Amino acid sequence: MQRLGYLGRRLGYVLITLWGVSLLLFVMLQLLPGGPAEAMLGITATQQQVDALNQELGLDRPVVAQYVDYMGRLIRGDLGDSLVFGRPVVDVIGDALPATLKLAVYVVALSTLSTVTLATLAASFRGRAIDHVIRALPLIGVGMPGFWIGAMLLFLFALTFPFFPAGGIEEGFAGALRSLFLPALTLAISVSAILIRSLRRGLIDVLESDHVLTARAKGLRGVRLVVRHVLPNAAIPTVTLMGLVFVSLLGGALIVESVFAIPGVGQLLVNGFKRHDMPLVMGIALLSAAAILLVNLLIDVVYSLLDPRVSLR
Amino acid sequence: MVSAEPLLEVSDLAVTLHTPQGPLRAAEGVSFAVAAAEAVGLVGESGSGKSVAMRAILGLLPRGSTVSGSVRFAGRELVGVAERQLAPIRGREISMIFQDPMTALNPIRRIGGQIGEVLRIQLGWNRRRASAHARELLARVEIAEPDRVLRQFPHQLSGGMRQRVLIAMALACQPRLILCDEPTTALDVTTQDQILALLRRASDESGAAMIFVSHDLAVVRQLCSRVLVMYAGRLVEMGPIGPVFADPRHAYTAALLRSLPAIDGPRQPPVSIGGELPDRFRPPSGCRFRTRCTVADDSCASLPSTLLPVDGERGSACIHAATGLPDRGAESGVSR
Repeated sequence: MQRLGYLGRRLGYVLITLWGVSLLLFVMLQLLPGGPAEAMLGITATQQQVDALNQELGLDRPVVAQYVDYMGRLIRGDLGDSLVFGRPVVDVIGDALPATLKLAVYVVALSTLSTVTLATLAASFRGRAIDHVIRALPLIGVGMPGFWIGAMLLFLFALTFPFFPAGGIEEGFAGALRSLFLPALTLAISVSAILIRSLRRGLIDVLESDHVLTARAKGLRGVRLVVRHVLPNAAIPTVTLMGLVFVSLLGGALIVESVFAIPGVGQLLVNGFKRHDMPLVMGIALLSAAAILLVNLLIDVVYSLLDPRVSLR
Repeated sequence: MVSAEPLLEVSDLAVTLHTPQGPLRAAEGVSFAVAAAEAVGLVGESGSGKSVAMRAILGLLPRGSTVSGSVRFAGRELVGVAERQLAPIRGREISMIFQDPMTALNPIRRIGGQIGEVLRIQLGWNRRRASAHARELLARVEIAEPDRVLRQFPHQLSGGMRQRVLIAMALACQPRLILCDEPTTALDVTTQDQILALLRRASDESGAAMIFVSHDLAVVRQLCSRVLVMYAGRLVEMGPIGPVFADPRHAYTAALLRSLPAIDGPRQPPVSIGGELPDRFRPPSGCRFRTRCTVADDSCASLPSTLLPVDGERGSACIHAATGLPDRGAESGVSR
């Protein structure tokens, strides 16, 4: 009951925040130089043509009227039509979403796997050579920008040694697994860079805690000890970092989708911006904001499930 | 010292801890034996090496520690043995109860699972059987609502309750030896008494031997038949409780006893031991207590670090053992 009340209240905050985001976006897009009509008609268009198109699109009306109109439709779940594609924004995003989701799941899987493995190795052999190597890796991940890592991976493993396709997304599970490996790796490197450091620290703290001594005095050791008494406890502080990581992941997806020519939401947003497709940009931005807020809510719920001392209030 | 083949025989045990200030010799030359079903007290100030010696028995020392000497348990050597071979002994044949029940349980796992775990890994029991037995164990350590407690998390229990849970855990596999590392120090006085009574009853019922580490002489006197006294990493005196308390043969033991308020004898103000523990990185030569000792003379600086036999069963590392120790014994009337 208490948990339901908490979730309801949090969802309320999410809606209020989204409204704020929409208002901010609307104002920012109004302030952008140029407009959709100019972008659609090209530089050879006359002022009359631009005015006519603006009138057709309803962009000649006062800003406040446009906003009220937009919000009215938004409340009914209608994000409007894309100016470029001439179709509902929801449909356009829906078409691009699967590619992005596949990439996201892939990144989460890769980074979880590498974070848990490397952080556990580093913590178990702390102070030894392997620990120093693993601790240096994240510095590389943080130090190199995603677009550069992506370009290098593309150059090395798709062009010089063609193990992987250079771009696009192939059919089927195996195809997706193969074709999305390099872009997923690019993002996973920067994500793991943050997470490994946090998890290693957490693991070391837990390994030195009293309750692990108790567990060892019961006869637990090795993998069993780590899986049952160390990793779950050490994961708690790292889980709280995930919200931050998710935001950087969204930003990274924009770049990686462009570098690897993945027809996902990130690429859609870049194109939408280039062509002043305001409804599309607004739609994607609002969905991203909603995703970030919901992921943060989810993280808080997961946190409370992981740690019984935390209650949702 | 003990006539039959001892259950546990520690000889010349030395532990070096790895500290940021360099290696620290936390215990050395520690030799003693524990017979089956015997309760032995190990007393000394904080930092005297008691806990380190206990943890060395089970190989549970902090990372980077080195151990030398020998610990023989039921005919098996435990020092220098791989973790893989020690793990089956821990919790099953030798279990350990730690000082601070507030931190000794995993905060994110339920009590039932944590008790059941030792049965599952050491005896290969399934979840259901382990859980049923965990309930029984909780009842045995006098927890009122075992079913409820099984489902609870550590933070929902008081310190005394948690220590009971840890005792239940230590008793689970019916070990032959229980190492108690100051199990009541972190508890309030009334709870302390309950836990002590419980421990005494548990060790009587199970027939397990016990080493009870404490800085509290009164507690050791209640619980144990023999006592070992440690100072600055070395054993300085050992013997049966009564004679040692009535007639200490080491200046440190005598000083320790003088520092206790006499409850049952003629009133005498407790006398604190002057000075402080020697620098552990540069201990004094010879007897380590000589820097605080009231009877020390030049000969104490060149003392061998071993216990010398006194009166058959007893041992003392004090060269003044036979002669004039400032006496608390007979007059001050430590009863026994």
